[in-house]
Amino acid sequence: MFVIIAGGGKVGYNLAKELIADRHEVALIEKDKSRYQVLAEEFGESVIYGDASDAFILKQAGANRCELLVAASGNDNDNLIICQMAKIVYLAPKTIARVNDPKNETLFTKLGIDQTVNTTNMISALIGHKLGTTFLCELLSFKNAEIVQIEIPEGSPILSKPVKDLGLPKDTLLIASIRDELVQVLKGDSTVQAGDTLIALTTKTGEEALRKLI
Amino acid sequence: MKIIICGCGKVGTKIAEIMSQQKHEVTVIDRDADTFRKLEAITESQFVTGNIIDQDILVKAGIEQADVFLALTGDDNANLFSAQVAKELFKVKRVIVRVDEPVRANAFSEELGLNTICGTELIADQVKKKIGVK
Repeated sequence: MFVIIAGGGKVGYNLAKELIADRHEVALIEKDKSRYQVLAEEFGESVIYGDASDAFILKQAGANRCELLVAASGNDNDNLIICQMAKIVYLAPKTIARVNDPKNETLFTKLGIDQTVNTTNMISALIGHKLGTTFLCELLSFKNAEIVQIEIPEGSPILSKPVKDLGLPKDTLLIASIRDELVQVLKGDSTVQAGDTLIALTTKTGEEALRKLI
Repeated sequence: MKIIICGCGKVGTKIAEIMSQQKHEVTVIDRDADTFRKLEAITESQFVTGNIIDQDILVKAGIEQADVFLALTGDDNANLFSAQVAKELFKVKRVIVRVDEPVRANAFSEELGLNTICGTELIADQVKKKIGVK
């Protein structure tokens, strides 16, 4: 796959490295001259110096033939405009934007960015998870659905009831439970125990209802 | 009319001055409170210090009641971002956005229907006129 990455900070750099290792073709755009020089030493001609929201720079990176554009900078305004430019001017088939301020996530989705990665929310959810303060943690997020991981606490009202009788929220599916590192696919008559980790497919509103239920 | 002006540089200051003289209710947003000094001396405008891409700052400036939203900073992407927040999330009726880079200004006005003003094109036109070339 040919991927353009805008922004060569820690996120963009590591993504480029992984994609290249997986034999994908990568163009990495960086607007800071000294950072560009560091990146060019490692990636050579795959790095382009310039502002990725500039149509000319996008073209130089090959935006007219890219299969995916990832805007990975630390600036939400740059990330949004870069994705929009790639879509409007070069008809990029798919764009993914890093969202730094959680408040901006709905705006990005509304404005047609195919996928968002909310780094701030992810990190705080993971830390909360490690501290044991959050029992629900988002693993993957799509435009209209998400996959979450849920730790079932002691005393949860759903214990020992069959899955089909739980009254799960609309568009929510419990996929599997993990107990002692063994994964079991959940069926209508399966039950869950305290300490199990569940993997569920749900929606934003379903997530709220799931929290209440569990 | 209630008018929000983003950016208190030369352009923002000039527009704020004109609008307050015409008795419109003006609120100016800029990251740097020092830029407000000139306007404070000559107008009755309101001032909010903060980043225009932060929705909380826009609410503080009264975007929910605004009739007109002008994104006039020197940063094209910040302008385009906040203009789209104003138009799509807060449904402000009239949103005008300054975009100095001509291709970007064109792309967003033609494809996304934003009301853009391209300072670069305007200056280029004036220069052409003054030298007498087409």
